[in-house]
Amino acid sequence: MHAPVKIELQPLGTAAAVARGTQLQDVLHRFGVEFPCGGRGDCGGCRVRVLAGSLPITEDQRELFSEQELADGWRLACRHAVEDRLVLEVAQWETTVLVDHGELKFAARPGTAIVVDLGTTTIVAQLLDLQTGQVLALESSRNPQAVHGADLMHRIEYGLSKTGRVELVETVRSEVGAQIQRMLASVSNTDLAIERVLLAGNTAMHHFFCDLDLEPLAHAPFESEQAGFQEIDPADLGWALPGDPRVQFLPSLGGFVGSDILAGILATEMHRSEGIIALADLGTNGELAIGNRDRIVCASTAAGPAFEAGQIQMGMQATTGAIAGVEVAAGELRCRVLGGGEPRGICGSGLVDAVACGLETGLIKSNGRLSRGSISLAGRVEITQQDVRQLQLAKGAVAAGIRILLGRLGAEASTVERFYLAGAFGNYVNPTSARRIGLIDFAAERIEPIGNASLLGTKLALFNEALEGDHFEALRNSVEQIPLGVDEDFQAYFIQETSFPNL
Amino acid sequence: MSDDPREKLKSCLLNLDKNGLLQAVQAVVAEANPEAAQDAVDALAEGLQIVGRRFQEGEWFLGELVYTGELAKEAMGQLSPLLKSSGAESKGTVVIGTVAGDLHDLGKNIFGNYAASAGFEIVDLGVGVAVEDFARAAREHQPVALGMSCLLTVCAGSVGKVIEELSRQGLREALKVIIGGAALTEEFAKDVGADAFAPDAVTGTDIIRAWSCE
Ligand code: B12
Ligand code: FES
Repeated sequence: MHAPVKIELQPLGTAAAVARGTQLQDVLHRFGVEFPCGGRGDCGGCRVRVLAGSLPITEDQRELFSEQELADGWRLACRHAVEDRLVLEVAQWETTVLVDHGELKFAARPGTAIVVDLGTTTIVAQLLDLQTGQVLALESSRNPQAVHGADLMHRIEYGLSKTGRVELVETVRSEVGAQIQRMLASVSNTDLAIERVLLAGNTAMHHFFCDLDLEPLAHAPFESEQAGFQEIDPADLGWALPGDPRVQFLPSLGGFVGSDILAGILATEMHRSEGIIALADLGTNGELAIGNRDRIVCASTAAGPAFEAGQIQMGMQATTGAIAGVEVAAGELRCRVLGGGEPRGICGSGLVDAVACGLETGLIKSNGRLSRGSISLAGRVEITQQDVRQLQLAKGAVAAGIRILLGRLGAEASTVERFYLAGAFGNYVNPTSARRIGLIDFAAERIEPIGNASLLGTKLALFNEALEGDHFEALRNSVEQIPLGVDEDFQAYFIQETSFPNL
Repeated sequence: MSDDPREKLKSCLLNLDKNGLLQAVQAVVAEANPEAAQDAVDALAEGLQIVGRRFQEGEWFLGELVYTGELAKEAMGQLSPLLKSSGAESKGTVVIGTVAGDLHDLGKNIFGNYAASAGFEIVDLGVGVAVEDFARAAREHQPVALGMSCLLTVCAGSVGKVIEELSRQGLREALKVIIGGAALTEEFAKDVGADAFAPDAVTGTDIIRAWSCE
């Protein structure tokens, strides 16, 4: 018999009873902990510290942890099963919910509808009153597919097998379904009829949700013929919703550039603007769109996870304990820690700040070389040479991508009217530091965080009858995707841009 | 500073001084002496070893790696006619390419440059190279080594397929296989039966150079 054992997760203080022998990965995943490499024991992203109880050290962990860390109780959650009562400290923390904070222009009509931003990491949904434009309920949760890797490529690989695909499709559909049920349960009005559910997300999420063939997304040229507007029968989704809504997924722009960017274009009104507008969503894929009402070009730069502090030695998400800002005061580095307590790691915005300060103080040379072994920031948090190298690759890819897109438009950085930064990183990053490291070469006053541009744009699409089906295709067709992989100049620009500006 | 052109070659390479390097090369070429040319090539190789060390130790990054690779390749281009005229043999041909489905080519190009400056003839098949095309090139060019690059985990399977195809066509024994790129590891190389994995282009060049001396 497998008697249940108690497991407690700090510092959130969550507790659960689980069957003896259950994989720790399965338990933690239910509580929103991510497994960046899909639980292969490669990345160290699933670190936990044993506060009470024990987890025997496995050989492969000796490579990732020092003797001291092992002695302190650090382990990889993905390498263990639960055998006895445990109290663990989870190195990861839940991300703050990011919702749009833009204003909404709309034509009022009776009814309710739902919009969903189906992100690789986070899924955000809103229940909307179409008469008032009011948000009746909001849900945000981790994308449960992350158990098969934080990286989309790992998930696509998993989804190439029949069972893998079924699992990934089911997981994401049922999570969105559950979010909708929770939103409905939270409102007092019990006879709501939902008219429409409208989703946006990158091309891979689009294909998972719509259960389309993943094979075209697994190799060059990464173009799927099914990336357009999709409508799905709610019955096929296993959803029983009041009002029998139409469930629709907005079309991708091409390659990995998804409807999240298409929605972002709507949100920034780039397609109506006379002046040139730029939009960047700097997650792992580093998606960009630049243009105006005459022409819009977009690209995916494959920056890697450095802006989200992935593959950074002491990297963590932007939550309690993360160094989110660094400045130089009287020749010393001063850090701002989220939640104000003991610093436990560094998030993307903190990393950009720290490197900008390092460049200012001469601790980092313009080729990225540290003047000594590592830079200590606060407490035991430090950044290493390797961390700076990761940031150089990520920022090099984005900066090179921006140069290529501007070149295609025949525009210069100085002629871009507004530069919108979407997503969590864009929200927190200090524009002056982003400029100092050469990520974006725009005056700080022209840089503006836009929050969840995908969700905002999806709402605009929902309220705007003119953007139904065909019309959407027209907008989509007017946006040109530039494949950077075959661009002649990309490589030279990328190499140049891996260096920091020499001021 | 020494006036020895070989020392000058090395220091110009390591100081990223293109003009100085090309002048030094010109001086050697003007001597029209194959032995002097061979010394110069050795000096470049020594310089590249130091570049490799600086890269591995984190002192230098991609910018310097690519630039020194290009400088060395250019210098080699001017020196090699002299070596050939003396009948010194080339180290042999190396066929390189990025595997099917993957278009990342930076790492492969850097490796190609380094191998070229170490005296190998490079046949670059480009990116997204199909299994059959690797095999055909192995038959046509009779290389001493075949280098494959792969950065996308979903495409890693192609590496093993190429090696199987080489064996199937009886081409595997005649050459060595070296692989590199972010999606691959030492362990992976063992699993698919490659002869070596290289974490970077300079190590890769050292490995094939060691093979050619065997
Ligand atoms: C630049 C880049 C691109 C460029 C490529 C330009 C080009 N012409 O090569 C662009 C923007 C086009 C691109 C596109 C894509 N990319 Co990309 N890209 C990168 C990035 C930022 C850097 C890679 C790089 O060039 N590094 C520098 C080179 C020099 O390093 P290297 O290749 O490892 O080479 C060194 C060694 O490995 C070795 N080496 C390499 N090959 C060989 C071969 C031999 C024989 C030897 C001896 C040695 C050797 O020598 C080199 C020097 O020492 C990485 C992220 C990162 N932070 O690393 C992602 C990354 C590789 N890309 C990724 C992805 C997913 C893509 C896309 C599929 C999706 C997308 N988001 O757009 C597309 C599709 C590309 C395609 N069609 O194939 C992922 C792969 C994830 C995975 N698990 O598979 C990464 C890791 C980013 C991420 N985490 O999402 N990308
Ligand atoms: S080490 Fe990557 S998930 Fe555990």
